Amino acid sequence: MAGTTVTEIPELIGTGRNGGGASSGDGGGEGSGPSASGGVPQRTYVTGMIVGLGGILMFFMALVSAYIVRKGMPNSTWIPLEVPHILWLNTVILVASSFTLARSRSLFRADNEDGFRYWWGWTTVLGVFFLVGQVIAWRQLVAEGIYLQSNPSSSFFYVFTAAHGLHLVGGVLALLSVAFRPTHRLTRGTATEVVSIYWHFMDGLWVFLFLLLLLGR
Amino acid sequence: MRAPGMTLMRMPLTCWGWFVTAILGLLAFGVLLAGGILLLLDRSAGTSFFLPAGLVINDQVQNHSGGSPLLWQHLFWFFGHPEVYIAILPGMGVASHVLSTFARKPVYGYRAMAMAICGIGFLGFMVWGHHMFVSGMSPYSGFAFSVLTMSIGVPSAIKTFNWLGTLWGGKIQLKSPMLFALGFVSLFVSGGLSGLFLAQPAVDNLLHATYYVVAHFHLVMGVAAIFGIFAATYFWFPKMFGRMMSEPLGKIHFWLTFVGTYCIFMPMHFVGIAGGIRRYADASAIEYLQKLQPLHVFMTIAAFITAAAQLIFIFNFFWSLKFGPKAPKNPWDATTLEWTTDSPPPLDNFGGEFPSVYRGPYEFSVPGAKEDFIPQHLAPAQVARAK
Amino acid sequence: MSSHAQSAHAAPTGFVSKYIFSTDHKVIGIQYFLLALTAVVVGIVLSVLMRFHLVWPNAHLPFVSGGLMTQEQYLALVTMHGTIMVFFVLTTAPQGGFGNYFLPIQIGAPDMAFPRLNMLSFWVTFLAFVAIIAAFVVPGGAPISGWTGYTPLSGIGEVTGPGEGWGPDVVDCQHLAVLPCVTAGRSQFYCHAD
Repeated sequence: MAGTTVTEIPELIGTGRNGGGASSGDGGGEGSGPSASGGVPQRTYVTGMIVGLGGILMFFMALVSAYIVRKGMPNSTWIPLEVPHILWLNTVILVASSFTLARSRSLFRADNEDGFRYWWGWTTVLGVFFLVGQVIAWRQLVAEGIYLQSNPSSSFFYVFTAAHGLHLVGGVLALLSVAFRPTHRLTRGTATEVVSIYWHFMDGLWVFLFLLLLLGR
Repeated sequence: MRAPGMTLMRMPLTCWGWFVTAILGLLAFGVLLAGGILLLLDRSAGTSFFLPAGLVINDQVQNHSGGSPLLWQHLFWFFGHPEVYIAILPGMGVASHVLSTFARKPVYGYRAMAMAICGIGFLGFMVWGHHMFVSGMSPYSGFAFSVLTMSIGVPSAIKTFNWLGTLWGGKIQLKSPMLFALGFVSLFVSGGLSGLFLAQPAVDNLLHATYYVVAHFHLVMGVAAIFGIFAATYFWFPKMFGRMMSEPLGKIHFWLTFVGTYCIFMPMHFVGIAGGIRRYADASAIEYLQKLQPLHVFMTIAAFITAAAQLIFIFNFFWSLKFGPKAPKNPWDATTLEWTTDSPPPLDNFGGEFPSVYRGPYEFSVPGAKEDFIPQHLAPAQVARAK
Repeated sequence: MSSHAQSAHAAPTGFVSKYIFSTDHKVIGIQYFLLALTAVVVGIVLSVLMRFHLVWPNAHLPFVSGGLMTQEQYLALVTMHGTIMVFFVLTTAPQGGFGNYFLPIQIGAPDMAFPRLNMLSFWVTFLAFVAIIAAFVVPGGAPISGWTGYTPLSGIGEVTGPGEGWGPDVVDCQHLAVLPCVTAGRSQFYCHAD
């Protein structure tokens, strides 16, 4: 090593931080999880879900803008679609499932295992009811002779409900997986948080799509 | 998940490139997916998202009605433009990284470079209409897209000047990775300049769907981006596989490809301006294009030679995997964290001892230091001082 | 904490879990790179055929049925060259290849944020590549509408002639399969740097 006088070596590209090392708050270790040399911090899963929802949101917004453009075309053969009435019930069911989910999570945080499972189960059941209701709505339309290709308005109706419904099936599977399968890398707290972000998003998305289909008639 | 001390502003520019590219991919691919699903339904389920009424194909009346072909173009290009930035941004990050390492100088204007990557990514979402200038859009929309497109030239120019600034006064080592990084800068400038012409709706009216467009995007996407990949390959091969690639073969590969691709795509601009239409299988029935045929022959011969030259790379790659000289941990005397670990790295990347970061990623030729580079992971007390 | 580290990074044994279905970002990066290398060779061959045809349109080609390349076949070359190069070279090699390999190492991390998602996104991309190549051999042949796939040509179907049979559907389906997975896989780059 050099002699006792330590010449100051400048940092050519100032990064605004003196020295470094473990005192940094920006590096790994945050988020009450294992350190960077072990597993992934729990907070990363939440970030991952939010990032993933951004992508899903872009997908649905592309469909929505296609809908708006198509509807607004002049001389178009657009026949406004009478939204099946069961959709109102389905919307109430899905919104209710968000409330049961929130209740379930607050009971989880209070360490009330039975209460958590009870309301989590109800959320799953309501989700399934929603999906069944969507299928009923489709069958009602088919009974009236309104198919995917009948008119652009019905095309969009089927595409919106099918795309949302498929994502919701994923959500139901996630709810079931939290209920039945123990998780390795995620703690159960993180799993419930991540699934609930997804579920609330799907709920909000459905309300938006529903209003669009209603008001956009 | 970054190492302790690794702030965002200490990340290598390669990471900035990958980071912004990931965001672009996240937001753009969903739109293509939506368009693709609607297209599939049009093709197989009888819907009419994109198909207008009254189409008669091969004497058969189609019973689609009321869709908009233009809608497809919007959906596609909303994805399509960010897509081309996905192709080039990682290459820009690699170019900055390699230029700095082989000029033994810090990246000039690191912060501006990082911000420019973000700026290009952001603006990239706003310019999709420049692919559709001739689609009948309102001239005001055309104007808006045109101005936004040209504004991407600002962060791009910042990056180009900073690459030159990184090289200026540096102790340049013309190894293979460096040659490809330099080639990247040259090709990005050449290809980018023709883009500025295409960004004018009035000019694009003449040049749309000609070979001018083909020349432009091949120079930026098909050559510059590929040179970014080559630079990355030559640079990181020793780390990935523990062996060095052949330097003479790398140089031959570079020169043949660099000259070859310019020979292919520079004349193509003239073909386009003269009226050569793209995607035509056979233009022999068109009188005024026949005079351009010698250019086509030249480009084709150049293409054959350049394609053959890639065999040198493939041979070099696979031969060096087995027979290349063993690579040390840090053959290029570089500063970033990947060069602190074995070649190739162990399963958890650092053999259990994860580094901490004490300085930025491009501390080359620092006054007062003994070596001409200071790795990121060395604590200040460990840095050897010059006498 | 240490047992967690062990379960997260227990070294895989066996050829399949080490080299085929590995969750190690380095292996996945090399897999993407090799996929891109294969794709670029296919793309270059297509482009060489294109350039050959532009100069010698009436040359007899032994591997083409009928000997002469038709205009639709030329357009199929154009379409597939663009599609393969853009989706399987330019978006795989720089990001999926080198990004996957070096982003974690350059920021000092042991792996990507979601290793299994990473592996899944590679294999879906691989399947998509197989699907793309399959477009050459399905009834109707490869699509001819350019990689940009403009409607109405790309939207009608078989009645428009060669290149509008199953080919475009196959290519379209690869989009459907690939895009969600690849998006998910790539989005972890963001999480990782966070």
